[in-house]
This record gives sequence, structure tokens and C-alpha cells, in this order.
Amino acid sequence: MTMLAMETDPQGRVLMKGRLDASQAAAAQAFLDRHVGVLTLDCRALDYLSSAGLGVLLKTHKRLMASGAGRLRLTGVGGHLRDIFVFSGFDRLFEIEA
Amino acid sequence: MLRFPRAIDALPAIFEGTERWCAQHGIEKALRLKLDFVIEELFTNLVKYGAGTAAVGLTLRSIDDGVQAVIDDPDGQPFNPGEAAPVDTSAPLERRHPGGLGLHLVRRLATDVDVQRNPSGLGSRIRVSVRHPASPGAGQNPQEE
Repeated sequence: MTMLAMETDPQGRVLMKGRLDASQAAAAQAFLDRHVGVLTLDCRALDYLSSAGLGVLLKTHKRLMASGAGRLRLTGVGGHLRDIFVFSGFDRLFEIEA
Repeated sequence: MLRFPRAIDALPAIFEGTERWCAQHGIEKALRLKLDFVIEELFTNLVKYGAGTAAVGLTLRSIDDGVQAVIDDPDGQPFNPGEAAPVDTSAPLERRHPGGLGLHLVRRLATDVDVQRNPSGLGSRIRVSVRHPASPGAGQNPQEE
């Protein structure tokens, strides 16, 4: 079972790997709260996302947008994550790159 | 039946249990993730709002085209996922807020949701199924939205 792992690459993109569930949401939120501006979240290695994870992404997106020119961009959204984004309508809220 | 403490921190152990069971029963990853999602949303709802104290039971069963999960809550306040408030998923960003999506998504991903309340008035048994995407009634295809 792969727990959640997060890192920021040299280009400033956040890479998430594993599972963003309710037990990991607080840690994920704390990690994302350290970032400002336009933040790209690479989801290629993120296997699983629950509604708690959606809440983390929404809260981060709103915070970044409230700062002026910031926002949360997503890449590598596929499979399970794509279903969750579409069913929740979050695919309309975020800029999502293939 | 597996039993888990009524705590969000129990989720990793729950997922270890579903991963092991799915490996033993030849369930592919995509269906396991759907199963995990449904179980997490129902379990966290019990933890947050159920007000019970006893451990929560989980039983998994193979069905023809998927998996049935049975969640036994011995002493929490019963709730029916089918009665949760609807979510306007087309609302703009300013009217979207964290929270409230879990049971909405359970209704989209799961089938055959059934809640039996215990005769005492506290506690319930929730049965819910997840099915292979190609199965009839497996849930709406995102591309059909």
C-alpha cells in the first residue's frame, strides 16, 4: 500500500504519489499551503483521490486565486482521478492538462 | 468480517484489507479503487457524524460483475447515502465549497445501496456494490455527462 508522498521539483511543480485520502488530507493541505502563485500539481503517480482530497485541492485553488494571479493547475489526471473529477464537476473548476 | 476502530486513522488498515482481499479474488485495480472510494466515504461519514463508539465491521463479497461491501455500524446514528442533499456540480467556483461531495459521489459510483437500521434504533448495516465499468448499472460513464 503506497501512502501519500509529496515533493516539489526544481521547476516548482508539486508531485504527488500514492493515495490522497482523508487520513492524508491534513498533511497534503499543510504541504500545499507552503506554495504561492501559479502552482502545477502533477497527478501522474497519484493513484487515488477521495472527497477529502478534492477538498484539499479546492481549498488550495481558492487560496491561490484569492492572492491575485495565482491558481492551481493539474496535470496527469487519468483513470480513477478523472472519474472523480468529472462526477464532482471539478473538471470545470480547474485547468487540467493531459 | 474485519473490524476497524471508528477513526479516520483506520483508513490505511482498511485499504490494506481491501487490497489483500482484491488480490485474493482477482479484482483489478480500477475496480478496487472504486471500492476503496465508496468504503472511505461511507466510513468517514460514520466517523464524523455517526456518534457511535464501537468498532465498524467490513465484509467484502464477490458478486457476478463486481464486489459488494457490507459495513456494519453497531451503535452509530443511521444514515442513508441515498438521502444526502444533492450537490450542484455545475456551480461556479465561488459557490463550491470543500465537503458535501462524498455521498454524492457514492451515489454516482456505487449501485444497489441498501441500509438496514438495527431494531434498537442505533446502528445499521449498509450494503453497497461496485461493478465493472462495462456492467449494466455500473454508474454513469463520465463521457456521457
